Amino acid sequence: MSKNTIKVSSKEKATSIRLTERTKRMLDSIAIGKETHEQIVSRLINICIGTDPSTSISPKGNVIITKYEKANKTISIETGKNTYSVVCTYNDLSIFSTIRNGIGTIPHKQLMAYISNNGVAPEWEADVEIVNMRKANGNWEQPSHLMNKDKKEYLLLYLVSLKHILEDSFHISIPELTSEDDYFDLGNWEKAYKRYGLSMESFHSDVEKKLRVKNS
Amino acid sequence: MSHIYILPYYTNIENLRESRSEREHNSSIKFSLGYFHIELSETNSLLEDKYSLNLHSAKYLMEGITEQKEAMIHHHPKGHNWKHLQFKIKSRNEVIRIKLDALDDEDYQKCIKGFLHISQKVIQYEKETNGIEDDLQRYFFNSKIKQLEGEERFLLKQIYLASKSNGILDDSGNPLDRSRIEDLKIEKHMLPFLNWDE
Repeated sequence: MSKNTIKVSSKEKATSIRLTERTKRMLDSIAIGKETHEQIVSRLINICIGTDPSTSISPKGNVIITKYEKANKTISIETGKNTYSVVCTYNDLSIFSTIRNGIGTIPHKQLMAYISNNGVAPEWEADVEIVNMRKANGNWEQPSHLMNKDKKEYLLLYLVSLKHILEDSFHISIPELTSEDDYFDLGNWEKAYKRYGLSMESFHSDVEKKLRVKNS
Repeated sequence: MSHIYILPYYTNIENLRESRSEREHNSSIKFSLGYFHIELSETNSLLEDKYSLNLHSAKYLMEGITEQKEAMIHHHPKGHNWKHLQFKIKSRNEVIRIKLDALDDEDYQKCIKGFLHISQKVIQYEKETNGIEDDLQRYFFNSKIKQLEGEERFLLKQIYLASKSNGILDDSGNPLDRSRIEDLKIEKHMLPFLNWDE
């Protein structure tokens, strides 16, 4: 083989880096879902160099500017009346999950120093919006049809979707919200938000305001 | 996220087809006769900030050759992520984009309505060129379309402003000079969009 041959390997080579046990535990604690160490490190690198397409937080003096990216998911929900597929858009909250998980277990000092607001985690809103829906395997239709026909059922779908998105984003479980009555009880939501240290701004705009409209 | 539903208000509802999938809502009217068809369609993405109003015609000429023309007004979050008109001229293998700058939501919707008003002329041209006897005006539109004359003038003004500020671009993003813009007027489906008063 000539000296000028370019060798192309068929696979990406794996390397090993040395970490203390403590650093490895910190890395494990900020995993989202079943992320591998490779995926965690890649995500943190992308956040640092600003190429992560998710929500970003920029501290500017006393102000923290949050630029939300939108995420979406389709959720299957069975109520007492029907089974639905509900398509929702919402603010991507993965960075707040990263901050929360770092705070909740081992202090994530460097990240907190970067976004510091007197050591308090920044507030956020989920801003869940139902953009499409269908009953069972029926036709997709505008959510406004259900909203106009059965406001309570529509609100229930919204609240179930919100709960699912919070559980999924923050890897938590909210057992306070199981039955239909549970979802419409503001006190249950407040307990859940406080127990998990979720944003009270979200509680007010994503939950309280919506339930007030139902009761008006 | 707000969606734009304009086409259904100005079309002949008997020929309008609505289809909604998990991620998109589409309204369209299509006319077909033999080897020729023309379609006016409006698409909203339900999941991202993406919209288009399309006027597309296709004529099968011979084996492997279909003459296609397309004009649209649209915006989308990736690629050319500003609001713009886009014209595909298959015979020249060319794509032309006209930037619609600094428009608020209300003015953007005016441009969309203006596009719809101009579409009447393009459809009429296709009818005459292809010897179609059907009343395509009635097939595609209802009487409310006539109310959009002001919106057509508004859109033409925006196109004129684009021409003055290097906002008429080829597919590589290079602005077209005056002679190239004049040359585009040969394309009959583009001519009504370049017919501004200076």
